[in-house]
Amino acid sequence: MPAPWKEIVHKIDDYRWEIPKSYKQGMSVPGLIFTSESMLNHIWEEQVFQQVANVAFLPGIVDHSLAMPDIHWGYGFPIGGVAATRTKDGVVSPGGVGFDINCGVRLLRTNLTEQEVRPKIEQLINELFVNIPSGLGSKGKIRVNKKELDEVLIKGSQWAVEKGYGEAEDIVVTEESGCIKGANPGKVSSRAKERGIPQLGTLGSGNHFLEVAVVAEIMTETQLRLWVSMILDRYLSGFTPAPGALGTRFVVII
Amino acid sequence: MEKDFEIVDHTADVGIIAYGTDMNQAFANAARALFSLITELDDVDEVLHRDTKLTAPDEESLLVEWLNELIYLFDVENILFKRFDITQLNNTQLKARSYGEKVDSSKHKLKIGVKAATYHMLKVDKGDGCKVQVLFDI
Repeated sequence: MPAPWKEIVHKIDDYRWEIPKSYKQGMSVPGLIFTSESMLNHIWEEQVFQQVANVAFLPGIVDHSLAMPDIHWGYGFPIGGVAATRTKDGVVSPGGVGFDINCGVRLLRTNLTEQEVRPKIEQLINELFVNIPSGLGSKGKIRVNKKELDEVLIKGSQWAVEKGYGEAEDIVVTEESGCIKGANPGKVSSRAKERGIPQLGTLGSGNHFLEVAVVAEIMTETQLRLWVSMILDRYLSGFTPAPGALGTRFVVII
Repeated sequence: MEKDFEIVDHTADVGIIAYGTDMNQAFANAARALFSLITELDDVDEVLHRDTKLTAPDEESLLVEWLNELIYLFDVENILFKRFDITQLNNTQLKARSYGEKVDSSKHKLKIGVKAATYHMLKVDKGDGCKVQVLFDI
């Protein structure tokens, strides 16, 4: 029996599959999924075709409701969904921007060797737990009022460096220099700020975690970049590694 | 009514279905379901209360607003609620008094953090008995 999606999608080439506007009445543009045939079976089971089609309803959407290969079930938008909307008559969809705005990953390099760290891994982990508040209901050691929070919102990482929580070199290796220019804290509701204040300086809760890892092999610069971006992708896909044992990879899952 | 609510697992999130003989009860049970995700309700005592008054364009939005209001109170005031008295509820307005206490780490075990009630798969059903469904962003 042919896979059920075969009656719906049009194959453009091996890695592009179109969901026509006729799939669901009200779609302004077709859907376009970047994936392989074997992955489509899985995607179909997740019912994300519906979400790709729903995004095609958005006012002002341009060209296609797109879906990247990591596509899976999200809120409104599928995870891995991409859409452009016209500035003139289009909408900004919170589902498309992402609910965890600026959820990110940082890689901090130390000069320590595995030999130095391994005998002290327990103390190290305990120390990390003490100094990095994590988990539900945790509060950061950093205490700011709403006015100071506005400064954090405007200056970003620069604020942290000024307060002695980071080094100037950190900013150089952070995208946008750790601060998106033109931020207007006035646009953030007072309630959102109240919720954010206690979380400042914490690891957060839910699927946020910290891991201590060893660089086992140094590859070429290109490969290293690849590795980092793969980690990013893994995190962004909501993948949470299994609780690791003590050793080269200690995973803290909150 | 056999049960007040049930928990529905979703790929990366968690949802609830709450029941009631009327909408007031279903909304109250939805709130209990929310806090049952966060902690063990049995460990929570009623030592304080908060009054809530909300308006929204329709009943679905009202449900989301109601639960988000409670999440806000938990985040900002660290209050765990266990009992909810919905004193007024129509399509656009809700008035309620919620009873609970502040988080005490020696007494309460916090389970999962709920960031928000979402509109995704949201359902308010007034059939034979009332039933509401909400998916939470965790």
